[in-house]
Amino acid sequence: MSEQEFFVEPDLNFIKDVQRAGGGDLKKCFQCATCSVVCNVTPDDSPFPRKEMIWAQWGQKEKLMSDPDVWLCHQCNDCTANCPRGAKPGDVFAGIRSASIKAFAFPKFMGTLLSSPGMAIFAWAIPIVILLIMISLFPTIYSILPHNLDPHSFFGELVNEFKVAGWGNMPAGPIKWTNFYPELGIDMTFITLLTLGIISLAVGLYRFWNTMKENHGEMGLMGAPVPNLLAAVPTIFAHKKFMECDESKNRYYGHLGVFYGFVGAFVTTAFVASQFWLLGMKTPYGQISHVKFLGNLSAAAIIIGGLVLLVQRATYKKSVSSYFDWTLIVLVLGLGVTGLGTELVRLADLKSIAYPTYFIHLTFVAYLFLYLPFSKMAHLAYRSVAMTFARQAQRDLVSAEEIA
Amino acid sequence: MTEEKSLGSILVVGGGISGLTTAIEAAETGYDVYLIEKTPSMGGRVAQLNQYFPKLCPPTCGLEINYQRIRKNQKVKYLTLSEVESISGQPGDYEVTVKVNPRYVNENCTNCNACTEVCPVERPNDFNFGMDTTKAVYLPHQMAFPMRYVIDGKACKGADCGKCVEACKYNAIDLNMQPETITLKVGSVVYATGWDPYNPAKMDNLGYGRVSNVITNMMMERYAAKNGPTGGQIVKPSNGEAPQSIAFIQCAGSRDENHLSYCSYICCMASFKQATYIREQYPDAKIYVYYIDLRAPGRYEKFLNKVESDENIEFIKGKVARIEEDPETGQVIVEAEDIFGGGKIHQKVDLAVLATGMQPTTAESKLPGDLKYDENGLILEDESTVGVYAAGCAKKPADVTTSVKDATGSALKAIQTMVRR
Repeated sequence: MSEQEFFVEPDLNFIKDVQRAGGGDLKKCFQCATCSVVCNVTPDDSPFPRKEMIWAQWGQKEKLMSDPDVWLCHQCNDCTANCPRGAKPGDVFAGIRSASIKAFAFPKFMGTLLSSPGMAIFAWAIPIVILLIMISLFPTIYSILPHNLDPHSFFGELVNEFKVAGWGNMPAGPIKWTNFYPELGIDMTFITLLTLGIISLAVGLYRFWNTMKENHGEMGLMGAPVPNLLAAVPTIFAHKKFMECDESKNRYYGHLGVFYGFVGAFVTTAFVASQFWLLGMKTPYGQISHVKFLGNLSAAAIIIGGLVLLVQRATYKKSVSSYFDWTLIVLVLGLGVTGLGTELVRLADLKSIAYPTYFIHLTFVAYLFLYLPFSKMAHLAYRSVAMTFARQAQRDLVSAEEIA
Repeated sequence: MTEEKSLGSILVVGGGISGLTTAIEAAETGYDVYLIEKTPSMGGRVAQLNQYFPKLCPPTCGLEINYQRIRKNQKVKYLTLSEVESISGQPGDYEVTVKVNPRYVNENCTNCNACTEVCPVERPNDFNFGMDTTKAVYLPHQMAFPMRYVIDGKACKGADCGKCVEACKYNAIDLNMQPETITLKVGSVVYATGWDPYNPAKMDNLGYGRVSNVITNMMMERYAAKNGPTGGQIVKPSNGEAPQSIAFIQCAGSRDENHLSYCSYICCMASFKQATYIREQYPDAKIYVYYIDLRAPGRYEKFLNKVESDENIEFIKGKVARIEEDPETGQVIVEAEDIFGGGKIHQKVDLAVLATGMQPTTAESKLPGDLKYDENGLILEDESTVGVYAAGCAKKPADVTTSVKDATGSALKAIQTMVRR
């Protein structure tokens, strides 16, 4: 045992944040270390989650926020199932991650907005209001844009879309998304939101990396971040860590579906955008195109994966799911269902609900982009960064072969 | 013949150390006592121990004293192979029906062993946790009270065989004995129904039944006891060889809401005691004790200090949560987080001892009478408890000393019920 003096300065608010975000039973832990033994994804050296449980009880915010192990956990819940006290380490870790996302948030109030169930209505209202404002601004934008272009040219058409866009085209006329929300308007809105999201995410990750580095101690880091990030990519894409879970195996399939659904949707969007701006190819594509197929497949993967995760969370009684968890599931399913719905209402020519469906879909996308750094969606970035750091610290090596 | 007017009768259920104590303490104050025991012999769990606290004497000493007191006291009437079927009435005036199962051996038995010699049937010896066998007709154990043979009705082939009947020179065997039901009139009842070792097979991660050299602490007592299956030799069950390294797995099922949610109180001390058995037999063996907290109540701390100062005994803070067999060496691999050492350890040992806890016998099946239980099946008593009481480990896990004191207190309560009638 260490003879060092250790002055504990608990951060009581951080404890409360963790408790509210799923770790409500954290004080039941009596440090038996069953969890560290049954965990299949922890390293043997200074294993988790036992040590984080006492840090959480003692409100050691800085230790927890600078601990990559918090993010190496994939919430298999093997620890929770075997915990002799019902302290639910898996849920406590989820709570620490939510509280960390909140604490790293830039700007700060966004972290509070996204982590408080009481503010959910405001959190959803913001993207809706942004979209409504944009729609109301279409005539103004039209008046600013140059009108001396050939109306049948590429840019001429883009400009003219603003002239007719908005709710006024509902339900008359053929369903054409640009008649509601112009192509250029989509890019202006969503590139801006995504840029904002990425900037604040970058600030959060920078803070995260620095605090990990400062608290890493005397052991040095090996190599540079980028090669280690690249080396972690196969693990992430193959969901290798999920496969090591005993207790909640079907989460692997659910998460895999959602993950590749998002990858597919991203590839589709990037392809469509580049085709549009480079070759002037407009949507909608024909139903038999490869891109269309990928888009539909992605939507299906997101919906099916999301449902698997939903059912798993709803039926797995040993663990609790927080507001943070449910919001992401709602977001994932919402994106998938309204995305596919948007295509279906167009094909079925359901004029009366076409633009509202599209609007809801755009709301989900706006929520996703704007809140990327503050919602549970941020786990993708934080976990990847933590895995990168852990590799640099020679902590998260995937297998014995890789060490050798 | 003039008969002393009876002060009243008390029924004590369970012939272990608590029940024996309650019965004799009440009888020595002048009350009539019925002591009934489910198994063929008194002695209970204490009889299975090699040594017990606080003085590490063999159980013969404590049991023998109590047997003597009962033998000399006309007021204690004892029945074995008997169980309470029902209780009716109120405090001070109960009518209890007791089922007395057949022993098939009567009081003519002289313990000559002739019947056992001819008996063709073997049965697993539950007194030794199935580590050896007895014949279908057998002496329960060396400290049996009453000292009389018994036939296991389930194992015995019955009158078709009858070899024991022929071999018995004293007409002691009657294979046609039938169960009887008797009715007792008593003023109060004390349940001293004791405990069972928690079933280690319920903890699949700890390997019992799957890993051959994983035993329980009670099996260790039987190994170490001179009258045990190996004549007192502590060995590896897989091959009967001496273990060179032994791990004690504390809280195997105790302090665990998935198993026994309470601390079983005795397992820490039991493991320290068993460490001394090993040190005596194998002075060079390495001993590892894996624990959550070391609990040495009261003066037992001295014993802990003694064991801690032994350089061959290592204490590791961290609960063992996984036990596997090494396919190459057949050794036991115990896995724990060494909390003070800072890492997961995969320790290979020759023998692992699960320090399983005490589960009340009332956990599975409840007793007749107006009793309250907690969620673990332990009998609850409070100020409103009158007439039907509990003593010893039926109420809470305890060592022998505590149980005996509690039993004396229960005898007083049983008496109070009748005086206040």
